[in-house]
Amino acid sequence: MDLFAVVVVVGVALAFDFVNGFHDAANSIATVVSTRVLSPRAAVAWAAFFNFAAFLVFGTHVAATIASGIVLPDILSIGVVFAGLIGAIGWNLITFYLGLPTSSSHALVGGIAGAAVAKGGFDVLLSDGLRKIGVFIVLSPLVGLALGMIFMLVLMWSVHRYSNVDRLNRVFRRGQLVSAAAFSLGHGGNDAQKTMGIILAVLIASDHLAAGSEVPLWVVLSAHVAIGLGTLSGGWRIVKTMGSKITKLQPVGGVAAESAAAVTLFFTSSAGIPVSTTHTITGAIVGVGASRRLSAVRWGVAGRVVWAWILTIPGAWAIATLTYGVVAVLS
Amino acid sequence: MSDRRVVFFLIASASGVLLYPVADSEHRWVAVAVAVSYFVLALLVFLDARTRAHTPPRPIRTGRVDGRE
Repeated sequence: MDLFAVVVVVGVALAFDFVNGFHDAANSIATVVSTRVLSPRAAVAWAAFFNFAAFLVFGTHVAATIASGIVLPDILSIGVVFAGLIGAIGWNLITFYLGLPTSSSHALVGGIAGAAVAKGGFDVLLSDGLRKIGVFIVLSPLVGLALGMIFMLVLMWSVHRYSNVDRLNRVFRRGQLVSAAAFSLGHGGNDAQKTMGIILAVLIASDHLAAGSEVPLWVVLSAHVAIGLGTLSGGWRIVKTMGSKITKLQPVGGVAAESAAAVTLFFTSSAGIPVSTTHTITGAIVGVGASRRLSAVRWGVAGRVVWAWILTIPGAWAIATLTYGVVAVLS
Repeated sequence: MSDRRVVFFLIASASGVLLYPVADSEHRWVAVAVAVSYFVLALLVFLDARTRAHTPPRPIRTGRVDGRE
């Protein structure tokens, strides 16, 4: 029964990774699709490949933070992890249906924290880990925004003397393939590790691994395959919001936004900080728009996005709490 | 002519300052970098807006009826 429960929870964790992939697919492909660099089908395949390939580039620092940095590791029972994942998946599906680019990462943090508190009270929360995550909830989009604006200004300054606009556009369209690949690497590297961290916590809680163990290779590969497949499934409802509703993007803007987001994700993944790829790329896109003028940003759309962000952790928390209540009654 | 980006960037800079004491010691430099970067961006945008406000508009050249400039 214990092994069966572990298999079920690992399956749900990989399902979360899959949902994360198609919920966040728009982040990776919205800019290349809106600037018509790639067709939607080619764009998702491109992004999915680099989501998968990220396991060759990044370590497992983010996974370690997820496994032992949010709540006391002892409280992470199979029931808590299961309820937390259901909370995150439920919130992801709700916001996916509404077309809102919310953070799968913060949904996971909110879900795990909510389920853990439902079991053991607020004392189980680890303030240091949550503080680090909380600070970067604000910092990661700000960093993405600043870098997006700076990169855009640098690119515009470097090419302002060229008169052949068509040739410039062709160069930047090719450049977007590179920047989109870099962003998908960062997305895969940061987001797949969160699922790895959850699976690692489950394996330790069920005594299949000793405390402090490294992430097994099969966990690494399965998490990256799941997120890649999720990306491949696409998320068209969110593509429209990300690609053109926040601000109008040209290829040069796409290169600037994706490069800025990729740099931010590379840094945070290396530092073991689980951040929202959605927040980061949204901040970068806003930064590109703001490099022209603030009115270039459709603040009404950005405002809806911000509200969804604010409600993500409480929303996932609530769903996880309810789920844990059901799990506790049934078990 | 005022540029609202100045206010936006100053608020972002203030966010970095407010997060400095809250951030863990290993990553406080990120909060500092955010605060400084946005302050510099605010300053640059302010100076750019001032320059545009004080630069007279270029005269629009129209052709004369006899064709001579």
